[in-house]
Amino acid sequence: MSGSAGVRARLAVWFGVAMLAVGAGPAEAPPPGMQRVPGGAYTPFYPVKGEQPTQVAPFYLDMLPVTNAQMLEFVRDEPAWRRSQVSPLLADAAYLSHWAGDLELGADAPPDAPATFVSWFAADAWCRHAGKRLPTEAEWELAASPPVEDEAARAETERRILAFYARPRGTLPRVGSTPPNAYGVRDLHGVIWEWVEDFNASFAASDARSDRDRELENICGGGALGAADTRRYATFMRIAFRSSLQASYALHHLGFRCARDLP
Amino acid sequence: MRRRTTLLLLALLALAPAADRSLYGLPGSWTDQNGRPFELASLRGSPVLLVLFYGTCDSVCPVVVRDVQKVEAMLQEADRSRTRFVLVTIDPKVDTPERLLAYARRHELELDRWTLLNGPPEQVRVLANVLGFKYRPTGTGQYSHTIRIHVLDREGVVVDHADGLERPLEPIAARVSALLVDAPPSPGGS
Repeated sequence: MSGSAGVRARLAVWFGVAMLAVGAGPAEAPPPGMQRVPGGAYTPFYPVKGEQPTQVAPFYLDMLPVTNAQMLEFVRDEPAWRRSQVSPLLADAAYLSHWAGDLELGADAPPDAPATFVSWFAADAWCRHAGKRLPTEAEWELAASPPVEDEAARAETERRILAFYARPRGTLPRVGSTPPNAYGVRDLHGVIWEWVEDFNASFAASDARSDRDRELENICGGGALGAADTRRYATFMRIAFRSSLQASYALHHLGFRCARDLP
Repeated sequence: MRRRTTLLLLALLALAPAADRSLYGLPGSWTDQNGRPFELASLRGSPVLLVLFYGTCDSVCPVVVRDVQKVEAMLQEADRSRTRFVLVTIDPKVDTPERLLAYARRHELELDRWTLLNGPPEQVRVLANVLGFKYRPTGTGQYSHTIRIHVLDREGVVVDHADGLERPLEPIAARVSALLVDAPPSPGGS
């Protein structure tokens, strides 16, 4: 008995050594404020003919959306992104319109609430300023939908997300008000919508002689019919919303967070 | 109150100088088909037909490029020599300057009027988003993308665009000519 326990213990040690030898030890710690999100295959919501799932490499994602306070630091450093100076090509008239001034947040923009009324261009610039980048739609969607154990759990998550989309939204809470998901990332659902790098790509016209039929098929009457998986209705809602945006739009409930490649 | 704010914002927008909407104010620099640095602002003074494309696109892009060549041919010589034709690749990793030059030769683009540009992917994405041009890779080196010819005035402001493949080309040529009505003659004297 004790002999076999000894053998097991030795095997366990050797197994541990072998795992370390093949590099299966703990992954490098993510940068501060970020979490490592495993990659995976992402099926585009509206695949074109013959389009294969995108293979997404593991990446780091901010645990929280960028806040008003962080946005303020950025515009202090980069005057071209101040409300009064931003190019009208890069942000519409609503850009940071809830702030009290160019460099003053005021009562409608608590420092620890998500930065909203931010155009795609400003979000992109913020992330690059921080040495990061916006996540792609595929990355964001993978991070926001960790695998679940069974169909009932998936359906329940879907129901809660859709309920959130249906609720009128008032004042934004501080960031981090929702529980972390399986990857340790918070607020992906239930607080704001978020910009992604390729926010308008899902409805990019097919590389075909005529894109008219395809566009109609996608948009007509609720439009999830051309979708790869109609159970992903919340995903459809997000993609439809993102596709309706112009990069210069600044909206009340639209914020962002950043991603970064693994080293 | 809200209505008044909206009106005020609209009034401010109308007052914003056109130069604020010029592509020539965008940061970043490009590389042309000869591998030389290229600033969009160097196009100032000429109307521009601008197309986002990629070199290995085998169905739509060659048709759009040919359409722009047709517009080029429709212009009066004096207008043609004062107009610039710009192709910007959405696939900069593949479309190196060398390949852009080969593309220009294959499609018989007159390089005194045509410029093919490569830039960092993030800069291409910014330009595409300014232009409302959508694209995404669909695997095997191909892209799904908008089909659009942009017309820029002499200050680099997008004043028109034509979408799809079934639009008439004459209005595009007329638009370009109209942008040259009070323009000084080209340095070449035509």
